[in-house]
Amino acid sequence: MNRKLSRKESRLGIAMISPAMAVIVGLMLYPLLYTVYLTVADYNVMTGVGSGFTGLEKYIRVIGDSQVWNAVGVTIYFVAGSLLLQMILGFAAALFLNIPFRGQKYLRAIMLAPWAVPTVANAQLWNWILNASYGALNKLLLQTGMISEPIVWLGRPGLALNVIIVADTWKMLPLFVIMLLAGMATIPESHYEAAKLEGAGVLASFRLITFPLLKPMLLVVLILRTSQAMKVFDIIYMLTQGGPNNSTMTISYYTYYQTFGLFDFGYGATLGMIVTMITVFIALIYKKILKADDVY
Amino acid sequence: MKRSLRKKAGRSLLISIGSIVFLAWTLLPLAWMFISSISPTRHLLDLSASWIPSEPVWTRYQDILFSETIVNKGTIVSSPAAVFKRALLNSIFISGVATAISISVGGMAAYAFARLSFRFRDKLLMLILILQLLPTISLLVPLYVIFRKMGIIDHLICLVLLYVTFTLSYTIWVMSGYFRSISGDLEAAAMVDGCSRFGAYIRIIVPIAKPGFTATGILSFLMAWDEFMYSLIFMNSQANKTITVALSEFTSKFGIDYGMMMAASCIATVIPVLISIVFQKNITQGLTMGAIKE
Repeated sequence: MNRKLSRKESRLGIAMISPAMAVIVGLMLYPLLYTVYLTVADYNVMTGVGSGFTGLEKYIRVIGDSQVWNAVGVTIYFVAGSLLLQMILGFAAALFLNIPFRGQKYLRAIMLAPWAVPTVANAQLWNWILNASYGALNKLLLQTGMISEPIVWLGRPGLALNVIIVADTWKMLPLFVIMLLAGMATIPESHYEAAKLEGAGVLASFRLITFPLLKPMLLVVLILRTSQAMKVFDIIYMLTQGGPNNSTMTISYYTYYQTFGLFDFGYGATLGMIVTMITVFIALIYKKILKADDVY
Repeated sequence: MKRSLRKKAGRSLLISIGSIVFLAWTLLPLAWMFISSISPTRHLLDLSASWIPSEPVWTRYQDILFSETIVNKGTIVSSPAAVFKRALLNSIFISGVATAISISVGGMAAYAFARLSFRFRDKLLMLILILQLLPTISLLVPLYVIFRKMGIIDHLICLVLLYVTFTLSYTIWVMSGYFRSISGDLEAAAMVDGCSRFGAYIRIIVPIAKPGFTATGILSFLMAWDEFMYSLIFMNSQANKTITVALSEFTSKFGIDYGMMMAASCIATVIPVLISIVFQKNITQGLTMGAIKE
């Protein structure tokens, strides 16, 4: 009887997941395996011509390609820079919005607005704000006399990537704040009262209570944001197309350029695999650093 | 006494400054987007002009929303604004259908993963999580080949399928956690009353899980609305573009009209931003459901 029931349950379970699994296997798992195949095969996707395997030839080409190393460096700079900035500002904003005061509710309500702005609209907006000749930022700085000549924000190799990090931060900061606030809400007030009785100040209670208890949440946000930032594409495509002088050429944009600009599908696939590997690697490092083993 | 008063004043000063900085950071860029969209072009190109135009122009919004869309063989032959209007409708349709599919198909799968036992259950769920982390770019080439073979490149259905890949895996992951947090007594009671297991899911669990479905649904919709790369690569004809791609082409195709660009950006932004303010609670829930353990 019991056995029959469990067989029935297992059949129902498989029936209920099969439509979803069909999509996932067909449009994610199979393409992933196909990508792996393309990286080691001598096969032209456009013409369908080619046979045999090239082995690790394309991977070796990746290692010898100085553009790849540049792109990896730019990407790591972007990921580290934007995550660090967002983490610091995110903590500041979350701690501030966690103080009970009148109007706090309204500030929290509008907080999400930048996050909801579509990435492309955000890029257009910053493209316009940063415009060298007519942009609002130069206009503001000129009018207040802080600069005497307009700055070409997106045209200087050392500057463009940093400016893009700011534009990305404006949009993505609310994600950090909302997750940290949700994490703070789970910390019982009694912890802080106990710390106060022990004579701990604001900084000490942050270091000893808030931060450690937020670690699991922080891990989730960091993994989520790293995997997002690693694939940064839209804003680069819109603002600089990898320039000036390849200073904003991220690995995703370089992959796109190789694949759909130069139509080297096999090499593009190999670069895609590299991005995947780096993402997984960074996620593992986080797990190690934060040692939050109880979080998935 | 005096000291506590001073402390209080310091606190409220701190809160005021914090609020102003926070509001300026959040709202000034959005305000500038809107102000630019209603400023005359000549006003925008004058660095010494005032920040707010004395005579706002609303014609750009009229152009975009009320122009006629005439399509001939996939090309829109009427105005540039018409391309944008068409893209807006495409985005609403594609995001809406992708969300509906991932909620219905994904919700069902999530329930099975959470409540039913079958072989490879945990391994399959893990596989979904890992696939969800994959960078889009690493699947582009094979997907392009598959869709070309199916002959659906440049069809709306192609983007629906692509968007379902990420909204579906997100839905399954979050909803399976949500179902696990619901007590099992209710469906047991329903089954005693003669409901089948599947019937219990539809009639009892789905109504209870409505907040979870709302949260994941909203986030799926926003994710699909925001997507750019797939749309850029898989949709070629003007009539099938989505709003993000149409927006990205405002600069190159129609000459640089910053005001028009900002009007279009405002329209693309207003729907998700309103959603984010109205459904803030649900969104917070949708973002944190996978992260906080009940």
